[in-house]
Amino acid sequence: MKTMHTRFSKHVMALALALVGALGLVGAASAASVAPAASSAKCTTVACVQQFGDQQISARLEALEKLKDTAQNHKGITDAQRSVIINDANTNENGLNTLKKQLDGETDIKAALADVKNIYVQFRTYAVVLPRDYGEIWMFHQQNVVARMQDANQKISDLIQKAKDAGKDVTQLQALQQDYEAKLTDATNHLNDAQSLIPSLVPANYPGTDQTLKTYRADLKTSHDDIKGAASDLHQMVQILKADLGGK
Amino acid sequence: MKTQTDSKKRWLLPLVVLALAVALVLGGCAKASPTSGTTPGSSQSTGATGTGGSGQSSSTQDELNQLQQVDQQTQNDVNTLGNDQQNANQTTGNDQETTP
Repeated sequence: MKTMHTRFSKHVMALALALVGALGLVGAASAASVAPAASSAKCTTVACVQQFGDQQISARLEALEKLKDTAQNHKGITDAQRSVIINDANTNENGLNTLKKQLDGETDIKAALADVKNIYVQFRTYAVVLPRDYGEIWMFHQQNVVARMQDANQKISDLIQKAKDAGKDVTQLQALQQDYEAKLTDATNHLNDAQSLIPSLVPANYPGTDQTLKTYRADLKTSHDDIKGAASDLHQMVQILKADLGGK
Repeated sequence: MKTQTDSKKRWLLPLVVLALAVALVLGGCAKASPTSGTTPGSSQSTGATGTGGSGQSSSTQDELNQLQQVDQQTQNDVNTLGNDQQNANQTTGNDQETTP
């Protein structure tokens, strides 16, 4: 009798566990229909579309805030340049917040789906805006470095002349200065090329913007490499001039 | 008596002429001296960019210091430009259209 009772208890326990497990699975499935994690999941309610769209907008707003922080804390760009980036990020944030408000107010699933589509079509935050604006920070910084290096060129000429007057052999200095000037000219040309592409880097031109971004980044990389080369020339010239003219 | 006076008058005129001539020559020299003095003065004034002089070496030192500062700033910028490049090349998200 006792054995039968124990067996019965075991069966009841097993049944209860199976029931709990089944309920858990049903719960998870219903949660997935509200917040689809993968693109394969399809929303059947307005609330589901709204939740999906809100998540997409929120992630983009967060990325734009990060862009603003980067511009705000950047020491290599001017206030005017900083404003260009921050204003653009604000414009995009305002647009996304307006779209979010519209999406949250929808009662028709088709309208809600159209709003979600606009997150991509109208904004292209990841595909166009962020790569363009981060590239612009890189470009502004390079423009400022090139300007300062070009300003220093007259001083370099003066000091080379002084070394020459002091009877020093300035052949290497002159070769370094020539390379320095050529690299700064090339950097300026590539920076100008990159800047000329910015107006075409807009969501309306997507997906053509993918190729434009490749060219934009390639120009910025070339100018960056030119700056590195010119910086090395400058460093060598300073060392030689210090030795020739008795600098500390 | 008359003969003595005449001989004095005879010397007076050439003396006045001589005095005037000397005065004119001295005056001319004095007027010309500022321009003629530029030759030795110029070597001193070009000393700022040329040879010798403590003022010149201080100016060279200043210029060297300024150039060294530009060099230092540029080296720092080259490092931070690397961060800019990383940010510009990062993939922050996906804009592939997804229907919920």
